[in-house]
Amino acid sequence: MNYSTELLKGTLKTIVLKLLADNKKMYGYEITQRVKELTLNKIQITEGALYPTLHSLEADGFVTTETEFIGKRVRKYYSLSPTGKKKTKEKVSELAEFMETMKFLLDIKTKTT
Amino acid sequence: MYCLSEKQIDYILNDIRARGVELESLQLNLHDHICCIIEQNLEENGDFESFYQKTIKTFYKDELWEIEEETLLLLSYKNYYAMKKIMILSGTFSAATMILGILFKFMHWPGASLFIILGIGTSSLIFLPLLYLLKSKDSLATKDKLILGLGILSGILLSLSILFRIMHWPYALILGYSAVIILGLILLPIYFITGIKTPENKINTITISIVIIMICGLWLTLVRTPFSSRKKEITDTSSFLINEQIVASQKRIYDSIIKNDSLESNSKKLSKQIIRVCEKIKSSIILKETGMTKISTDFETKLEFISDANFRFLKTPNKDVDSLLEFIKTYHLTLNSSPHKTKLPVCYHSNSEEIIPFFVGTNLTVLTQLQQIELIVMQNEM
Repeated sequence: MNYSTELLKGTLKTIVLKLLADNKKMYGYEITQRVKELTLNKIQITEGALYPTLHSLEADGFVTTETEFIGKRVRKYYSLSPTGKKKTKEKVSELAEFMETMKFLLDIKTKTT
Repeated sequence: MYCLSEKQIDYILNDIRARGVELESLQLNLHDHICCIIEQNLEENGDFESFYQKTIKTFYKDELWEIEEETLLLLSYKNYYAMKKIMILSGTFSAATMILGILFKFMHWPGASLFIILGIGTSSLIFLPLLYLLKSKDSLATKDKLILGLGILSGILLSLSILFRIMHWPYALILGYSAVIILGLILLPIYFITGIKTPENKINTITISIVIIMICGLWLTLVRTPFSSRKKEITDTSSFLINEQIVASQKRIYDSIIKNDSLESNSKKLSKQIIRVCEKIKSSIILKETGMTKISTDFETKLEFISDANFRFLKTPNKDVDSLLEFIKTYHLTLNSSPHKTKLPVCYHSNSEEIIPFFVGTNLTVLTQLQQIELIVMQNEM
């Protein structure tokens, strides 16, 4: 089963930040593969969503980049900046709390109806 | 696992560029990403071309540059709230200063022009550009963006033109004409032709088009035509010349009378000084206006005109103006002993001995005032 893009949109930043926190430095393809692996193919991040998010995180100063030549092509590695590390903690706990609330909210709704 | 050749790697990068992705870092990201997918998933002797075409199609809905558009949108969205806030603040500020400026203007309180400059300046240089940036983000079609942009541009030009006009700064007319040309000759046709085609917009299009025509018409009604500006310059300059001739003939009579007087009294000395300074100021105004120190009778062919621009000295305070004011003050003191003599046409500050610097108004008014001073001084001595 694949989750809808609407659901993923709000959480993509958190997913990317958390992965970078756990893996030091990663490049785009690696991120999509890791998510696929970890979620057993349930979540597949599209290129169209990943790269705009990475660029926006970079503009915010949460991630820094370094480039490496792989043969003839250039690979951009992303890693967390100090403010990015702080932001990751905030984002992860915010999402965890949100999930708790949603569980509570939806549970109540299913019980009352 | 497939091994990409250098040629294929170049081919992919060029293809990404050709598909409209312009941001270099995004090009590199996508390039590496696609290469990775191909290397991981294509068999060693698989068909590169067809696999590549299939893969790249999974990146987008309609076109590859959607990714770049999304990136740019995310990047600019960050400033969205700040921009919105600044827009509202600058808008409120310009409206408030505008109201104050008009109030001060009608009450004749000092500071009116400062408020008006601030009001028009912020609205046309901050508020309107921000309005365009924010409005054009609301995913308008290119045509609507163009119309919005042209409308706001002509709004900016028009308000700056009015500001420049009242401040007597140069290029006010050019700004105004460009605004009207953009509004009437570019925006109006595009707006009308595209709008009239859709039945639900028909009435709206017609009314807005009428409003645009009226705005252009009203502005052109207010503006003096080049022909009548020239006519006014000619009348002004010839009126100045006639006055100059009167002053000159008076001066000849005056000089002949003075010559006969061997004793030169203090008052005569002062009169001479006043006349000298007046002549000096006059010729520096004319020099600034026409590039010559004197205006000749064939000024029409030489195109030496006194414009109706406001009088302004390049350097203020001006030494000549200051000494003239000082001389006039002393002159009026000497008049106390001879009540039959006429006072010079200057105003004093209420309850004070200070003369209000009378050099306000257009160049012609100032020149005329100087001529009047000369004439009165000479008459008083005769």
